[in-house]
Amino acid sequence: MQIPYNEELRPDTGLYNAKLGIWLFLASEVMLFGALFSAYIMLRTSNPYWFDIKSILNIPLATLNTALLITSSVTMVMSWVSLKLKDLNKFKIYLGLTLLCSFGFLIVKYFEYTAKFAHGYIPAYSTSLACYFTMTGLHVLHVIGGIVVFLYLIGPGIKMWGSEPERYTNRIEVVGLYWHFVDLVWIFLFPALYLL
Amino acid sequence: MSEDIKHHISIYRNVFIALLILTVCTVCASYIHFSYAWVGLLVGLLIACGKGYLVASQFMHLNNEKKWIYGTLILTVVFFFVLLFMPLFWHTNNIGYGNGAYEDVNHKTHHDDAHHGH
Repeated sequence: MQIPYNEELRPDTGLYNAKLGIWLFLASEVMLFGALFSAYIMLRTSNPYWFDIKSILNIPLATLNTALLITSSVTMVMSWVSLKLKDLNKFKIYLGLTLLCSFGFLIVKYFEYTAKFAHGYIPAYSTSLACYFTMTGLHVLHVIGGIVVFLYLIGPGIKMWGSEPERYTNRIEVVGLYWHFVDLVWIFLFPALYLL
Repeated sequence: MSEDIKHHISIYRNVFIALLILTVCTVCASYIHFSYAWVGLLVGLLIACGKGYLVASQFMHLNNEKKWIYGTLILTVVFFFVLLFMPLFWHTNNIGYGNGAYEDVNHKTHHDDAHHGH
């Protein structure tokens, strides 16, 4: 059975189904992270004995991670552009670079987490560290989710390019929107947790 | 179509440079000692909003999208602010008071406390 509106646009929304679907999903994600930000602000402003984690966090490493995510966002959008220009080789290079940056992000995060644990800075240590691990941990899970989808799309999923190139391009656009959202969340997490 | 896309490539490159510069600005702003803490907070969040705008408008193409997506996002933003400010107004909450629900809970709690105290 052929599922309609995979490639062609729906006349009522002017969108293909997956695009509307991913935006609805991202809307729910905004509420998820919004709830965490709200809780963080409330806990921080109402606690007179707030443990300032700025002094124990590694700002240069977090800045490197910010640069990695921004770079991955650019390479992601460039991979979609490559498919629009029917250049599969360039697409593979750009998506490969996106994967590389996302793995780089995870490696940096690993070093950050292990350094904290080695000093006994675990979530139970203080409310501020609990907030830090909850928010960055959830973000890391989203990065891992993105990596799994990238690996599928550059691996077995690439077969679709041969049979349904438009649909495959749409898939890349949809996963790109998700990835930019992950970048967007980090843009706000970085100053909120590390700098302010 | 392809000409239009090629035009976008230069925009993506410029946005990338702008995002990196704004990241450096964020880090620098965190080292500046502002006389009031909220000024530093405001500066940090304003830069983050600028970066967020660039990502959303250019990479996610929100500067040129369909009305269904704008509708979804407007609803999300409204509920996001409700969610953000709801705890701040918690002390004004009187829903449920006056119908016996909360009074019963309070009465029960005091009763239990008194019971355990003895």
